[in-house]
Amino acid sequence: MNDRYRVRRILGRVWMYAAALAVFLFAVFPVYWVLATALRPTGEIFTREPTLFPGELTLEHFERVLSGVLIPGASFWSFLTNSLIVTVGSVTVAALVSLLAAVAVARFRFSLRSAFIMMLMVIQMVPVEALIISLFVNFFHLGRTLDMELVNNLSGVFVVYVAVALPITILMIRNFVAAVPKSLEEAAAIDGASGWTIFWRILMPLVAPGLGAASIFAFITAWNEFLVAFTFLQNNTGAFTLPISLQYYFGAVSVEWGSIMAASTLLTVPVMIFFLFVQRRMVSGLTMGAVKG
Amino acid sequence: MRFPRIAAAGAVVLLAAACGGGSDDGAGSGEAPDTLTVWRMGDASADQNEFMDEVTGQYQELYPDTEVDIQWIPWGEFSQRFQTAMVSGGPDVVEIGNDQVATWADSGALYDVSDLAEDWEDRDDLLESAYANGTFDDAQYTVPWYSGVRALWYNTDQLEEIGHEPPETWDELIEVADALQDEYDIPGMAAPTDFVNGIGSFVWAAGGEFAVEDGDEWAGELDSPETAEGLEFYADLITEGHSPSACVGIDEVECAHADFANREVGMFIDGPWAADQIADINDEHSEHWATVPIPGVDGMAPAFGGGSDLAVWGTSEHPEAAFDYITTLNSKENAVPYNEIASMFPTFEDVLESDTFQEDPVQSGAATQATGDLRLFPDTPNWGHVQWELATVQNAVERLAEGEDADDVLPELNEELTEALNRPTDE
Amino acid sequence: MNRPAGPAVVPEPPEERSRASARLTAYRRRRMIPYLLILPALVILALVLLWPILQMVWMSLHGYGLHQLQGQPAEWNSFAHYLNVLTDERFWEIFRNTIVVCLAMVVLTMVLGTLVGILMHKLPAWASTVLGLGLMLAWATPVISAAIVYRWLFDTRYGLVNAVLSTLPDWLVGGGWQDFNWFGSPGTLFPILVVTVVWQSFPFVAISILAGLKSIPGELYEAVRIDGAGAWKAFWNVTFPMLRPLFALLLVLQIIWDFRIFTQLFILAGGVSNRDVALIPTYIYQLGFASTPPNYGMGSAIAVIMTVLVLAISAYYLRVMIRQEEAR
Repeated sequence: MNDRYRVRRILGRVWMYAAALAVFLFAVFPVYWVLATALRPTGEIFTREPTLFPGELTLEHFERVLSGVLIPGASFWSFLTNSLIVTVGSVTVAALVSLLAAVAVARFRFSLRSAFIMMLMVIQMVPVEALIISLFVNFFHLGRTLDMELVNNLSGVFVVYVAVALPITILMIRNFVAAVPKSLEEAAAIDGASGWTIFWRILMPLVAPGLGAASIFAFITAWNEFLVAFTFLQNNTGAFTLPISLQYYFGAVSVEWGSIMAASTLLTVPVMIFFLFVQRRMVSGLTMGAVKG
Repeated sequence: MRFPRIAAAGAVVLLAAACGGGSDDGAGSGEAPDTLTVWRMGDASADQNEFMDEVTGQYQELYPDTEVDIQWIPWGEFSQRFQTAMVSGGPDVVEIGNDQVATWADSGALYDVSDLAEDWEDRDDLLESAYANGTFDDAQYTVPWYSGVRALWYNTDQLEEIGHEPPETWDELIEVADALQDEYDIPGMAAPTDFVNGIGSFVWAAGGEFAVEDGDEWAGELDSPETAEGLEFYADLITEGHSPSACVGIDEVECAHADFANREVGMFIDGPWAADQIADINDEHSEHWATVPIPGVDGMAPAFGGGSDLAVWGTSEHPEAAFDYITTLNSKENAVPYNEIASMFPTFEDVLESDTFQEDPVQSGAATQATGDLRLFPDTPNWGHVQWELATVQNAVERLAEGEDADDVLPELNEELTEALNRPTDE
Repeated sequence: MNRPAGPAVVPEPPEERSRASARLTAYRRRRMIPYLLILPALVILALVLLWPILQMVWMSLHGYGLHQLQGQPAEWNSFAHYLNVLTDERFWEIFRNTIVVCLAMVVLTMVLGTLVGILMHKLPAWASTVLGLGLMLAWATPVISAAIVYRWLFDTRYGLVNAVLSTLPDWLVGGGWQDFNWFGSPGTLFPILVVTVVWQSFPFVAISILAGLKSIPGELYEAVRIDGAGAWKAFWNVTFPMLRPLFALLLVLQIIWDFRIFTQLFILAGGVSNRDVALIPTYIYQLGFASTPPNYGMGSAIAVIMTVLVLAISAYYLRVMIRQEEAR
C-alpha cells in the first residue's frame, strides 16, 4: 500500500518533470533556432539535412546586417535610432499626458468624468487593424491641410503610438493615484505646500511605479508595432523602424535566412532584457483592473 | 484634381534642343536633380539590373551629376506604395501597368506630360493605340513602354509538308488544323479554356466585347451575337476535335507547351517568351518553330496587349529631368536589348517592323501582332474579380466545349458577369 | 469637491463683494483644473482615434476611393457596401475562417496556459523559475520575429520541419514532405498560424494563472483533499471558482487579441494577396491598400463590422469595468 503510493508519487513526479521539459523546449526551441541559424555559416543553413547544433560559429550574418549592405542607403543603426525615437518618445509623451489626465480622473469630480472614463474604456477596445484605413486617410488629409509630413515620416507613427497608448496608461496610472491616501496631500497642504510641491514631492514618488508599469506596455507595444509603421513608412527607408526593416529584409532577401535571423536577434534582444526586469509588473498590470476591483 | 502643368516655355525650347539634337551636346533639358528615383515593377533579376545600369549610364551623359536610384516594387505592393506616394516620398519616374493607367491618372497621381511628349522626336513612331492608353481629357499622362503580345505558334516544316501557308483567317485555321490532323494524326490546334487572354482575340475578332460601359453601369455582352460567335468558334475547336479535349479546364501552359514541344499538337497560342519553357521540355525541333498573328474572321485578330507604360510621378520636383529619363529608357536603341532580357515588345511601330523582329521566326508573328489592334479588358476594378475569382468567361467556354447549348449557358453567365461588374468600387 | 455657493441674496458691501468675486474666480479656476488636465489627452485622442473612428463609419456609408482621398466629395451610397459585404460569399468564408482560427487559438492558449500555470505551481521553486524564464523568451519575442522564425522552421526547401518529416519513416508521417509547401493553402497555413500565436500567448496565461494560484489559500485544497477529491475535482471545485474573474478576463483579452491577428498572417502568407488564406484584418488591409484601385469604403464597412464584433465580445469586460467604476 505504502509502496504503491510511493511509486505513484514518483511516477507523478517523473511525469511532471517530463511535462515541464516538454513545455520548456516548446517555448525555447524557436528562439534557439533563430540564434542557431544566425550564428552558423551559410553552407550549414542551406542543406536538406540540418543539424541541431551549429558545426561552426560565425558572425558573418551579423556583420552583414550591421554594415547595412542589405538595404542600400540605410543602415541598421538608423533603424535602431528610429525605433528608439518613436518608442521612447511616444512612451514619454504618453506617460506625461496620462499622468495629468489620471490625476484629474482620480482626484477631481467633474461632470465629464464618467463620460471620459467610459470613452477610454471603449476606445481601447477598438482595434488598430480596423482603424488603419481611416488613420491613413485622416493623416493624408491632415498632412495636406497643415502642410506637414505625417505619412512617410516618423511623426505620424509617433502620434499614433501616443494615442494608442493613452487609454490603458491613463486607466492604469489612475489606479495608482487613487491609491495614494488623500490625507497625505491634505497634511502637506496644511503645512503650506503648493499644488506643484504636493504633486512632485508627495504624489509622484508614490505613483512612479504605476507610471513605470504603464510605460512598459506602451514601450513593448510600440517597439513591436508593425501595421501602422508598415502602412505609413513604406516609401521612406530612412524612416524605417526595426520591425518593418525586418519585413523589408524578409521581402528583399527572402532566402538569406542567416541575415534575417541575425536581424531578428538584434530586434529581439532589447525587448528580452527589458522583459527580464519587468516581468512581474507585466502580469499585475494587465490583470489588475478586473481581478482586484 | 489635376496637378498643374509646370513646364515653362523655356524648358520646352531647351528640351527640343537637347532631345531633338540627340545626346551629343551632353546636357539634359531640365534642372538636374541630385537623385532621380525610378520605380520599376516586379523583382529585380541580374539581367534586369544590368540593363538598368546601362540606362543609368546613358542618362548620366545627359545629367552627369545625377544619381539614379532604381527601386523595385513587388507587384503585390504597388497599390499601397502609390497611395502613400501621393502625399510625399514618391518617385520621379514610375513604371505602371497599362491597365492601371486610368486609375492613377484619373486620381491625380501622375504628372501631365503633354507638353514634354510633344517635343519628343520618337513620339510619332509610337503605336497610336498604345499612346492613346495614356490620354485622358486631352492630357497625356503616360507614354507606352512595352507590351506582351501572344501569337499563333506552328512548325514551319509541318506546314511545308502539308503545303499550307500559315493561317490568317478562321477558315484557314480550320483548314490547316484538319490538314495537320490528316497528315500527322495529331490535334491541329490546342484550345485551352482557362485562357481569357487568348479567348479575347476570338471574341474581339468577331466584333464582340466582354462587356460595355453605359453611363455608370456595366453591361455584360457574353450573349451578344458577336461575342457568342467568337466564344462558340473557340469552343467548337474542342467539340469538333481540332483541339485535345484534355484542354478543357486548363491553361495554355499546361495544355500546349509539352504537346507542342513533343509534336503532339500542331498549333497553339502564346507569347514568344514561351520559347524558353518549351525548349526546356524538348528543343529537338526548335529550328522549325515560328509564329504568325492570331487569325481573325478575315485577317489578323485583335490581341490582348498587357504591358507597362512610363509616367512622371505627380509629386516629382523635376518633371523635365524625369521625362528625359523616360525617353532615355524607352529609346529605340534600348528596345531590342530589353526584348532580349524580358521578351517584351517595344511600342515603336518602326522597330516592330524592322528586320530585328521580322527575321526571327518566333518573334515575327508576335511583333506583327503588336503593331495591330491591341486591347485591354473592361476597365473596371471588378474585372479582376471576374477573371480570377468567378472565372465567368472560362466557365462559359468550358461549358460550351462540354457540349452545352449556347442559348442556355451564355445568358445565364452573362447575368453573373453584369452583376459582378457592377459591384460598388468607389471609383 | 466643494459644492458651488449659491448666489448671494443679500447685497454685500463693496470690499466684501470683490473678495467674494476673487473667491469665485479661484473656485472657477479650481473647477477648470480637471478639464485642463485631461485636455492634452482629449485632444490627442480626439484627433488620432475618435475622429478616425467616426470617419471609418462615415466612409463605410459613402463611395470612397482615390478621388475622395484627393479631395473630391464622397457620395452617399445607401448602405451598398454593407449589402455587398453581407451577401458576398467570400466575406462569409473569411468571417468563418476568422472565427474558427480565433477559437482554436483561444482554446489552445487557455488550456495550455492553465495547465502550465498549474504545473509551475506544483514544481519546486527552481524548476518553476527556469520554466518561467523559458516562457518569457517566447513571450518577449517580437511578433514579427516570431512569425519569421515559424516561416523559417516550415520553409519549403530548407525548413527544419520538412527535413525532419522526410527522415521519419513514411508509415508514421506519410511521404512527400520534401519541398512541401505549408503556406499556400488554408488547411496547412492556418494550423501554423495557430501554433505561432499560441506559442507567444500561452506564457502570459500561464504566468497570470500562476499568480492567481498563489493567492488561493492552501487550506481550501486541504479541505477538498480530505473529502477525497482528485486533481480534476480540486480544479473545478476550488481553483476555477476562485479564479473565475481572472479566467473571464484572460478569455476576453485572448479573444480580442487573437481576433486582431495581422502581422503573423501577413508574414506567413507572404503578404495579403492570397485571399484564400485571408482573415478579417488582412482582408480589410487588402481592400484598403492592396487592391487597385483602393476601396476605402468597402474596407471601412468591414472594419466597422469588425469593430462592432470586438466591442460585442468585450462587452462583458467593459461591463465589469464600468460597474467597478460606478462602485468607486
